[in-house]
Order: sequence, then structure tokens, then C-alpha cells
Amino acid sequence: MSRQSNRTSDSKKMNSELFTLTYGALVTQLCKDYENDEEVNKQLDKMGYNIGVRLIEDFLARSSVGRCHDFRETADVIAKVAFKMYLGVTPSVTNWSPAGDEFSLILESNPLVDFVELPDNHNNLVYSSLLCGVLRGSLEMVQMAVDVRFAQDTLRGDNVTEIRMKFIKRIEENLPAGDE
Amino acid sequence: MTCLCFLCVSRDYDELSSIMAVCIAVIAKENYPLYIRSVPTQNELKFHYTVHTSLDVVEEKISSVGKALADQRELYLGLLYPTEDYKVYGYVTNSKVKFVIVVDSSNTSLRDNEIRSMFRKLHNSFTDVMCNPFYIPGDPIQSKAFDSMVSAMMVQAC
Amino acid sequence: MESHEEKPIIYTMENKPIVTCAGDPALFAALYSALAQQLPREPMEWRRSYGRAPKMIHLEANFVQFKEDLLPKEGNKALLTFPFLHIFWTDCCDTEVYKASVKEDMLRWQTTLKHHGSQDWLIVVVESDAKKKNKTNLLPRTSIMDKIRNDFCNKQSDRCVSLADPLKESSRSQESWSSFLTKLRTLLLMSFTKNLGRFEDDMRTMREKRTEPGWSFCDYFMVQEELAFVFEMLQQYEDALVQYDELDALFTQYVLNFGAGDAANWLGSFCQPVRSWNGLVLRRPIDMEKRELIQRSEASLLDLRSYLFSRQCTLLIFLQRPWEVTQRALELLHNCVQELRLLEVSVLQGALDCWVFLSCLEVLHRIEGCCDRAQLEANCSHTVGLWTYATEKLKCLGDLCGLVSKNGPNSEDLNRTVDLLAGLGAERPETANSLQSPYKKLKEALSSVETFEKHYLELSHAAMEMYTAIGRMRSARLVGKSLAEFYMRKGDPQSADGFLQDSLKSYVAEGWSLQVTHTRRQVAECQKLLGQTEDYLQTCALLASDANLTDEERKHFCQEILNHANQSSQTESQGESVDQKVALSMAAFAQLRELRFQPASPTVHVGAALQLELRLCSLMPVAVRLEQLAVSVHFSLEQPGQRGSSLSTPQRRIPAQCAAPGGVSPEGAVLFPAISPAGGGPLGAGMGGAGAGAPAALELYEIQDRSPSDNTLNTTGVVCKNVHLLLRRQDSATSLDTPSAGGSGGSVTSGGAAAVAMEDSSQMLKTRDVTLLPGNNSIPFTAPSQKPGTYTLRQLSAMVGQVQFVLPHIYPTVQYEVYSQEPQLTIEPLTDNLLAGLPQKVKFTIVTGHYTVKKGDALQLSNTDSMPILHTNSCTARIVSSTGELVGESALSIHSSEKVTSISLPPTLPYHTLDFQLDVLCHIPASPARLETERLTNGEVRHRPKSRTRYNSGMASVDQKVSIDCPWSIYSTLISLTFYIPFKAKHSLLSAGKRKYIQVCLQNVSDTNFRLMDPSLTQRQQNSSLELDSLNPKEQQLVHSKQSVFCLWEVKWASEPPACLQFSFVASFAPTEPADAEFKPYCYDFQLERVSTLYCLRAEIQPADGEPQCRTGTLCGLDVSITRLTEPTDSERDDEESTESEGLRTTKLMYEVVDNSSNWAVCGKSTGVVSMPVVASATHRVLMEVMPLFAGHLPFPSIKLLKYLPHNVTPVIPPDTDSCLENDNLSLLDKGLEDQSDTASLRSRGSIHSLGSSDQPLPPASRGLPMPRLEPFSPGQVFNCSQGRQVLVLPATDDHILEVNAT
Repeated sequence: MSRQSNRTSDSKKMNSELFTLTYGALVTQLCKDYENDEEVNKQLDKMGYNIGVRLIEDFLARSSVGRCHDFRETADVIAKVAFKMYLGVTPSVTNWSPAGDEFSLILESNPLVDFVELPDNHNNLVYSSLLCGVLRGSLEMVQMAVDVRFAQDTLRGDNVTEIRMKFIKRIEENLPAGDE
Repeated sequence: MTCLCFLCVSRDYDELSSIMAVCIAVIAKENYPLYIRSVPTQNELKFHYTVHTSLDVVEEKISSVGKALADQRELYLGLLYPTEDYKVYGYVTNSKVKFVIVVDSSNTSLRDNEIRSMFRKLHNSFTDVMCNPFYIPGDPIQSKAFDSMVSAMMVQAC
Repeated sequence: MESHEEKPIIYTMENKPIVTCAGDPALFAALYSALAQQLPREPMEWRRSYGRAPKMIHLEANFVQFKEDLLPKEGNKALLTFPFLHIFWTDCCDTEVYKASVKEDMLRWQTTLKHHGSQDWLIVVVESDAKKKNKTNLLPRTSIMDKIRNDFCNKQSDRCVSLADPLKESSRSQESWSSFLTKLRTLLLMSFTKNLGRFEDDMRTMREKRTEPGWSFCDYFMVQEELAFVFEMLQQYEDALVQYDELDALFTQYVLNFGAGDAANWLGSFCQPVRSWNGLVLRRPIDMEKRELIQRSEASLLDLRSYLFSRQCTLLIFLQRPWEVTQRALELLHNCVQELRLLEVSVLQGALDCWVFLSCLEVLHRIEGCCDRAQLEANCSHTVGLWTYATEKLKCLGDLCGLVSKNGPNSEDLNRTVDLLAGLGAERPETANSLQSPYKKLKEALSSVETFEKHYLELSHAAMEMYTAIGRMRSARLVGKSLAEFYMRKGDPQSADGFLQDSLKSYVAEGWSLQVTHTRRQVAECQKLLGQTEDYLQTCALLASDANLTDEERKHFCQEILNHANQSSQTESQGESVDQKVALSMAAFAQLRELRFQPASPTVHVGAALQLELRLCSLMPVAVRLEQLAVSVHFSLEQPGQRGSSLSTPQRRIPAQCAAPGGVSPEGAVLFPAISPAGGGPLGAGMGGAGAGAPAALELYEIQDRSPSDNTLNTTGVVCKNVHLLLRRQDSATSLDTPSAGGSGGSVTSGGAAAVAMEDSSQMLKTRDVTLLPGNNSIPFTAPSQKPGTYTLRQLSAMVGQVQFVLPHIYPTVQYEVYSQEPQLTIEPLTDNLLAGLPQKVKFTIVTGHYTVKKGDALQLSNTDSMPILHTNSCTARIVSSTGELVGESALSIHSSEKVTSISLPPTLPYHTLDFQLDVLCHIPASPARLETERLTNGEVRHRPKSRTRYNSGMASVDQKVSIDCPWSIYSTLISLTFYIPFKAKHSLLSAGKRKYIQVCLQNVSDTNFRLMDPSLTQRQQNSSLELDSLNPKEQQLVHSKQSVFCLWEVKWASEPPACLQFSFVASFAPTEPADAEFKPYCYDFQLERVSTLYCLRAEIQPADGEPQCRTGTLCGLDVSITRLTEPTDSERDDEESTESEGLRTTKLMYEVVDNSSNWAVCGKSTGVVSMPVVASATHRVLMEVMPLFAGHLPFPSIKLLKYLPHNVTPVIPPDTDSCLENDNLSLLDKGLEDQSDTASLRSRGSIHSLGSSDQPLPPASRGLPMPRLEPFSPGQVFNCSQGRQVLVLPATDDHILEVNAT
């Protein structure tokens, strides 16, 4: 992330292959270190969380979005601003639960998984679960406890990638949320 | 040959012939096969021999190219050698990974440009395979994407 | 076109463009030769139509007499016979003659030309002076020219030139001659351009018609070839070649289209069945026969192709491009074969092979004809293709004609041969007399098996040599392989073997598994024939484990092995040929995947059961029954002293082992790198199908040899830890080829691996009758552990009948340790500190080591009464095996006499651990010697500055030594336990006037909390007069860790108490946990001296006169009064020095006023000696002046009272004087010094000096010299009433700064 004095929304260009490969290297290394996929998913999520709790500041700084009034607004900001800003894609927001506390982000293309083909011995690996962590972490910093998971994944042969987000509760202030 | 243009009378037949490569191989820098697939109908072993032998010419060409113009950007090695039944074409990446495409001699519809583009496709697809974080360089290629791309280039067994 | 027939010569290369000459033949004849040779002298630029590049060409011409029939008739496309220029020569110079004859001729000539529509003509008027001589009536020459010009060239005046008598050497003639030549050239070229242009146009139009029905390729061919000829004639070989290439391409395209479905009717002729296949003919410039065939449209496809190629070949050779010839040749041959297939031309089987074969050789000969050796060798790469092609074809022919089979050709083979030969026709004249003609070769090759072999080998070797020469090893090997196949079919495995092995090696090296499999099968076949049993079986093993083969095949090869095994074992059972044993590498047969130790730690004690589980992955397709599976073990005795305390060593050694890569994991498993022999070498060592190229990585380690004395480097080097792995791949079977020496010995290890495992085949892990199923098997072993030492697993060998598979090196190294150990007894407290006074649990641990605890063995503990062993009926011992599981429990019987306690141990096996717990109690020593008697004055306790070194964490400790006799040794072990005393007690005497109180402070220094019950204070030597009444609560009290409890008693007495009182404090305590813990006593003895109060001190401070209050800086009166309270007791008499004066007994006291807090400045003497009468209520007052230095409520300066003993007496030294001396005086002194540091008052310092002076004599006193001496009163003898009193001091009025002193 470029630390320019006033964070204008024009983010620096970065080669997407390098980005994708970097993430790939991270995941595969994790796979080496922790044999089982579940553990890897957890680690990825945790890392994501730690990214999220930091990234949110940067996000709020460069995208001058105010506080959201409802979950729907949050969803839109995430999809239209955040994803656009950091991943260069704009997922569509769909499948609202009747209660309006749960929705899906549908990514046509997931920049994290270019080139990736899951080998058969990694059936339970949620390759991009870092994203879940990021979302969770960053929302937690704005007092929103959410549950994020992958509902569909192109890596598993689904034709889109679907991230399911569920609102759990508002976090009262004075809850210290630090690194896990 | 300026006067050859008139010979293009029958290009339209090419569309009829769906015939493409009969064998496609990717060979590692150390000359062991990373991937080799041939038309199921025909004798696989024979193709393996053909491809393997073609490495001779590949190396010859590489070295000669190396001598001639080191900064040669041309990866396409052209026709390695013809046999009665097959034409063997070669292509080498700058990382010395070799691609070999075997085409049926009777299939004259394939001109240099087609072959080139096939190689280019192959190269791109190979690059993607290399970029797959789960692929360990040097291992035999087992990638659905690559497979499908290759089979698209190969004649359907029928 | 008859002209062809009568002079076909024009088709040789010597033909030139034709120029006809009319007019005066004599004249022309005279000039002909000069003309012919001078024309080509200078090149002429030829500008071409269709944007073709201009060319410089040297023109030649063939001057012929003008005949009308030379002129082409309508529709004749012959170009070579076409006269490009017509010249009319004349030298007439007078008009008469001209009018009379010449003009006529010219007219006739002209008309014929016109009639044939030829514009290219020239009239040359030659003028010679000779003629002019005899002519008298001269017209000016010009007039003739003019006439001619007028008559004929009305517009193109340049069509008429004059040539000034050329045979003269005059400059003028030269000039006109050269200009004439130029003109001639220009005109020729113009004509070429015009005519060729026209020709090409016609040709094109003709070609455009090619889709029309009647069109014939052959006709067109002829036409375009004509053009080619002309270019050739003009030495424009490039252009000529282009013509042929166009024809070639055109034809090819037609064939393709035909194949693609549109039948061009004219192609019919080419589809006729091939009748002759006598190869290419490249020796003639033009193959007329074929040309005519084409002309008559009777040529077969081969004819056409052959002719075309022969022409291209010729031109290419003119162009110095022989290598293009070879390349084109190869293409041509392939192409022809394809085209014939495409056109479904019926060809006699083998005919094409003949044709190709002949053609290849023909081309090669042609090339050899026009290049020298060096060139040829430099360009093998161009020719080798043809060689191999020829070789292949010959092979095919051989197969076809049954020339390769072992038992020669049969009748139908022969018939076939005859037919083929028939198709060759007769040999051509031009090669007839050369010995090595392709024709002859082929005939010869087909004639007999031997000759065939000769030629075939010749060709193959030639090809191989060339390939090797240009470094195409793979191709060379491929040829070699087909050669090998040839040999095999001829039943000559010997010769085949080499080639096969060679190529096999290369395929393995490059990891092409399919080829490896294929070749290996051939190798197997070959080896079988050669009877190389061992190698054959090895190969079979590899094949049987080869995933590329079908199950059936694999089973087959597996069966081969088993068959051999059984068959030879049978022969052995019949008692003969024992040395049938064959040792093979295990790599192909099965792979060692994992070794697992049970128990996990590969370090066990002597005789322990160590299980070793072998995970073996069988690569065989079927289950294989092994007579025996054995691991040879290398045993090295452990060095004495290597193992110090055997308990700690295992933990130390395992990591050391792990240092070897892939060492024993905590789970006791050693994993072996999985290697797939699929692409594997003869031993399949480390050859993954994919990982092929890369050999196992070197494991290099640095070694440095430093001299022990000064750590300087002596030698350094690098060790390769996996040498065997790397070497093994090279010398494939060496470790196995060792002759089966063990055959006689019969021991299994001594089979293949004899060389390696001979050192001790005694140490072996064996299991018999194992059946290896395909895939993973696990085989348990029991490892020998009789002798202590290191056991290294060396080799794994599986035995199937006579066949034995050996894994020559088990790598990474696997070893286990066997150690022996002395029995040991350890005693340790369960809690971190043992507390004295309470029953404490102590753990006894016995590691039996090699000793067996028999029934009746007992531990003898020598008792000390200070530490009895408490009998707890429930005392059980646990017996734990070395691996840590509980073996058994049994109650201990403990008998104790007053001297010893003997604990009888339950029988225990060696290398077990026996542990039990005992309760011991350490009595708290009644009055610990070190507990010092505290000296104290009212309330405050003075500590000695000495540090209590023997205190440990503030707790006094008691060491208890226990000596134990163990059954396994004659020596008794001495064990010391340290107990800590939980309490620390302090006492102090408190006074209030005459009333006395005793306070005991009991501090819990331990970490446990206690309950405290009925503390009591008793006097030790009974003194009735003294009574102590307790002021303490009755109920229990809790004393938490690090807390203190204070107990208080008032002391009363009726009669005067003795000087020294001895008390003993007793309280009973018990830990709060458990609640039912019984109370144990804690007692603390102490003594007090001279408890009764002798004197009472009272001080008063009056403000200065007339002042209501004291003020800072103003003097105040300090009035000290000392009052004697008691009558002197007789006890006093002896110890207190008194003087008689006028019947009044007095004693000398010294008072001292000290102000520690420097609130006061004492003015005048701060110390003084007073003599007190020894009577009750005798009072002495001292007045002195003090000045308050601060305002506020100031405490009184402290006042001390001491005994003053004048020098003249020799005092009896009371027992604790030294203490009193060092204690009081010094402490008093250095107190003074301290004050001096912080007080500002000179006076007070002066006072110290005075005190100091009064102290001076002291040391001599100790030396026994008579000196006045000070002696303190024992605690409680002096009671200071004004202790702690304060007086209000107002600030001085003029003081603008208010100083408030808070004390």
C-alpha cells in the first residue's frame, strides 16, 4: 500500500500476476507447514483478519465513505468501492436474506485464483479464505461482527465465486479488537 | 515466388479438414517429457520415439541459433524433420523448455502460420500451468486446462 | 514440330537464341566469326517486365541462314527454335545495283517477315573502300542508306545501320563496329522482352483456363518448360528454376484438390497404376524419355515427379546449391509417397520402397558427383536424412522379401522379389558400367540373404556414423535399435545386446519411460536368449514393476522370476548345482518405505524387547511368498565409559542420530525416500519418471580437523554422506554381481551382498515365510538386544527360492542402541521444601537397571531419632516398566526397630522403576542454637548487623542424613534431606513503669498456612513468685504464609524476681490443609535478665523565662530528673559497683542527651555523670539548655542512662559484656557519627566529641588497664516516662519563613 500523504483514491498499479503468485506462494507454503486443509483455511482467515483490521483504516482514508446506515449500504460499499479499490473487481450483491442480515458477493472473476488449479489432495482447502478474514477484520473495526464464508468457488468447479456474509451483531465500543 | 499467389485456390478445403496435431509434447530443459499426448488411435510409442529423436534437431537448431544471433527472439524452430508420415515441428522457450508438435504429413492444410499460432497457444497455456502455485516446476503436467487446450489442438479420434 | 526430331541437339545446353541472316551470304560469312565471338563480350542490362529485377546478361546468338520455314507458324509455342532477330546484310553501293536486285530481295524478305508478323529485323549496310575503288560513278553512300530507309524503315530509321568496313583496323571502323554490336544487343533484348512477354501472357491465359474441361496439364507443362529452357539458355537459372517450381506447386495443389474431392479429368493419366519404379535419373541434363511421356500425356505420377525433380536438380547444381537438392529430394520422396496414397494409385507392394531406395541413392551419388569429400563430410546433416530413409526402405524390402527371417525367403517371397525387380526394368546405360550404381545395389541386396545383410548393415552403419558425427545421438541410437531388432530377428542376440543396452541407458538417463519399457522388453528377450540369467531376472523384476505394462505382461515377467526361483530350488533339492543363487537389486522388486521402532525410542536396555516394523511396498503385480526376509545388522560394541549415567544418555543420543538425515522421528519411524523404478536404471536407483534427469542430491558435510593443543586447523575437507547412493547408479550391479559365495555357506546374507555383510551375519533380523502382497506390507521383527552396543541395519534381503533380492544399503542409516545400567536409588521430597515439625511425604525411586529385585530384598534405613519414619499402613509401591507402563502395585511392609527401618521391596524385574512414598517427620530442634537472644529496650528490637548466612529464603533449615543399605551394593548410600522450620519466633519485654509484659512474635516463614492453638508461656526454672497471665485469645488462630502472630503476657511477681528469667514459649500448630491434620508443638526458649525497673527518667522542657511557648532559635530549659524506684537488691550488690560516702551508698550514672532527628541543639554539656544514692525514690535533677531548631510539635531529645564504672575498680565482666560493648557503645558511637553527617549543629557534634573522649579509654579497658567504663542497663531496668513526648515550638516572631517539622 502506498503511503502517500493524502490518500487519494488513485491506487498505484501493481502487476496482477505478481500479486496472484505471491498469494499462491503463501497458500502453498501454508499447505506445506500445516498438513490439513482446515488448519490452512484457519491460518489464511487469521492473516486476512490481521490485514483487515489495518486495511480498514487505509480504506476509510482513501475512500471518503462515511459510516453506513444499514447493512445494505455496507454491502454496496464493500462491493462497489472496496473490492474495486483493492482487487479491481466489482462483485454483485445478491441473495439477500429476507431478514436483510445476510447477502452474497458474486465475483465473476477472482483475481486471487488466476492460474490456480486445486490438486485432488486439497479438497477441503478454501483457497481464498483470506478474503473472508479481511472482510471480517475490517468490519470488526467499524463495530460490525460478521460471519464470512465461501458459498461457491470457481476452483471447485462452480461457475462463479460466491462469498456469503452474515451480520451477527454490533460490537459495542471499548471492545478492544487487536490481532488474534 | 511472386506467381504463387494464384495457388491459393483451395484454401477453402482447409476448413473441411479438422485435422490438427497428432501428437503434442512438452519437454523439460533436461530433456525429459513433462507432457506428451498423442492421438489415441495411433501407436503412442512411435510418437514417443519420434518426439524423442526430434530433440536432436532441436538441440542442433538451438545451438546454431545461439551461435548465429544470440538475442534471437524467434522461439519457433520450424520444421524439425519430415518423415514419410509425419511432420515434426519444434519450439523452444527461452527457459529451454521445448514444445514439439507432430502433424500428419497428409495434412497440408497446416501452414507455418497455423503451426506458429498453435505453438503460441501452447506456450501461453504452459505459462499458466507454471503460474499455478500448486504446480511444482519439473513435475509432469497434470492440468485440466492444459489438457483441454491440447485436445482442442488434436484431431478427434473418429 | 519436325525440327525437334531432326535436331534434338537443340535440347542440349549449348543452344543460343537464333538470329537469321538474309542478303549477301558471302559478306555475312566473312563477318560471322568476328560477330559470334564479339557479341557476348560485353554484358547488357535486361530490363524485365512484371517488375522483375533487371539483369546483366551476356548475349550469345546462333546465326543461321534465313529460311522461311524457320519462322514459327501459327500456334507454335516452341521458343528455342524461335528466331529472335532477322538481319539483312548488303554491301551494295550504287543505286543501279540496289534498284536492280537488292531492293527486290529486301522486299521479299520483308514481306515474308511481315507475313509471319515478326517485327524484329535489321538491315546492315556494310561499306568497304575496296568496293568504292572500282566504282566510278559514285553516289554518296548516304544516298543508299537514305533510299533503304525511305523504302523500308519509314518510321523506325534505327532498323538500318551502316557498318564501316569492319575488317579494317581503323579507329573509324572499330567505332562503327562496336556501335553496331550495341545496336544488335539492344535489338535482341528488345525482341526477347517482346516475345517472351508475349509468350508469358499466352502462358498465363492458358493457365487461367485450367479449370476448363479440355485443359491438359501436360501441354501446359510443355509450354512453361519452354520458357524455362529459354531462361536456361540465357543462363538465367533462377528464373528457369522458378518455372519448374511453379509447375511443381501447381501440380501438388491439383493433387491435393483431387484428394479433397474435385477430380481434374486430366489427372487421370497420373492415377494409372505404377508400372516402373526405377528411381530418379539425375545424370542427364534432360531425361528425354520421361519428357516425351509427359508430352504424350502418358507419364505416370512418378515419371512426372522424377522428371520435374531431375530438372530442378540440374538447375540447382548449376546454382551451386547441392544441399538444397538433398533437402528437396527428401521432401519429394515423402511427398510422392503421400500423393500416391492420396490418389489411391495402385502400386505393387514394395515398389515404392524400391523407387525411394533407388532415388535416395541416386541423389546421394549425384551430390557426391559434384562435391568433394570435405564438403560432403561438412554437410552430413543434409545427406543423412536420405541415408536413413534408404536404410528404412531397404529394411522394409528385406522384411517384405523374407530376407531378414532366420530361414531365408520362401517361394512367395521370391516371386514378390522377382516382380519387384521386374519393375526396375533394365539398368540405364549411363550407370551400366559403374560398379556401385543404386540399381546394382538394389538388385544385389534383393538377390540373397547375405548380400541383403551386407548392404543393410553398410547403410545402417553409414547412417549411424553420420548421425554420431553431427552429434545426433538419439537418432543414431534409434538406427542402432532398429539394427538390434534386425539382429534379433536374425537370431543374433549377441550383436543386438550392445545396441539395446546403449539406447536403454540413454532413455533411462533422459527419463522417457515408454521407450525405457519398450527397450527393456527387448533387452529382456535378448538376455533370455543369451542366457544371462541374473540380468534377465533383474530386467524381469523391473518390467514386472513397470506401470507402463499391462497386468498380464507384468504377471508374465513376475512369473518368470518365480519360475526360475522354483525350478532352481528343485534342482537344489535334488542336491545338485547349489550355486543357482541369484542376487538381484531390491529396488525393482519392492521398496523400503518405513522402519518403525516399537518402543519409539531406539535406545533400549539389554534384553529389552525391541520391535522393528518394516514397511515394504511390493511392486510386483501378484502376491509373492518369501522364504525369508532378513535384515543384516552391524553390531559395534559400546565403548566403556561412553555411557556415564545411563538414564540421561538416551535423550542425548537420539538427536545425535537424527543428525543423520531422515533420522528416527519422535514416533520412532524412519522414512525412506520413495523412488519409482518405472523410469529407473538397471537398479532403478532414484530414477523418478519425472525426476529423471536430476540425480539424488549430494549430501556434503564439512569436516575440520583442528589440533587439540591450539585450536589451529590441521586439515579440512568435505564428506559426501550418501556416496553409495550416487555411486550405485553408475556401477549398476557391482554390489550384486559378487559371485554367490554364500551358496556353500547357505546363509542368506552371504548371497548377493556377501561382500558387504560378511563382518557378522550372526546379528540378523529374520522372519520366515512372509507373503508380500502388491502394495504396502508391514513386517514385524524383533531386534536382538543381548549385548550392549550400537546396532546398525545394513542390508535388507528377501529370498524367493534361489532368487534373492538385496537392498545393499539401508539409507538413511538406521541404528538402535542397547545399553546396560546400574541400579539406582533416589529420594526426593514431594513438596519443594520439606517442613520440619510436620509429617512430610518423601518419594523413593529405585531404578533397578540390570539388578533383579528378589523376594526379601529390603532397604535398610538407619533411623535418627530426630527423624522417625512414620508408619502409614497404606504404603504401596508402583512398579513401572522401562517403557513407562505400570506393571504392578504392591503394599510395602515396613518394620522398624529403634535403630533401623527396613523396607522390604516387592520382586521387580530389571530395567524397571520402583517407587513408593514414605512419611517422615523431622522434629523441630527445641532451641535452635542459632536463634539469638534478642536484646531489647521498650518496644524496639535491635538487630545485629551480621547477616544470617545460614538462612535460606528466610527459613531456618535442618539437614537430615539418612544412610540406606541397598540390596545390590555392600556400600550404604547416604542421603541428606533438608527440612525447613516453618516458624521464626522473637520475644520482647515491654515495660510500663514497673509493670512488665512479655511479647512473643511468631512469624510463619513457610509457604503453607497454619492454624495456631493455645500458645503458652512457661517459666523454665520454677519460681512461684512469678506469675504470667496471658492476654491471648483462647481460640485457634490462622497464621497465613509470611504472617506473624503476637502473643502477650503480663508478668507479675510478689517477691523480687531473680536477675535472669528463663521462659519457654510453646504453641501447637497444624497446617490448614487438611483440616484434620494433627497439631504439632512448636516451642521457643528464651531468657530475660533484670526485668525489674531500677530507674525512672522524666524530662521536661520549659520555654525561656516570660515566654508562654518555646520558640525556634530561643534557648529552652531541659529538666531531666532521674528517680531511683527500688531498694537495691542483694543481686545488685555484687554486680553494681557502689561507693560509700558519708554513709550513703551511691552509684555513678552517666546520662546523655542525644537528638537523632537534629530537632534540637543541645547547648553546653550533653552528657554528664551523676552519682545516685542507692535508695528508693532518690531523685537527681539535671538542668541543661536546648534550642529547638524547628517549629512545630517536636519530640523530646532522647535521653540515655548508663552505668559509669570508675577505673579504680576491677570489674567482674558480666557474660554478655562484650556484646554490650560492641553493641551499645559502638552502635551509640556510629549513631552519633551518622547524626553528625546530617545535623547542622556544631554543639551536638561537639557533644559527640566529648562522648568520644569519654569513650577513648575503652579499648585499653579491654586490655585490662584500669579505666572508667560505661555499662548499659539491661532492658527494662530504665523506664523513660517522657519517651515519645512532644513539645509545641512556635516559630521565631521575626521568622518570615515558617518551617514546619513533621515528625
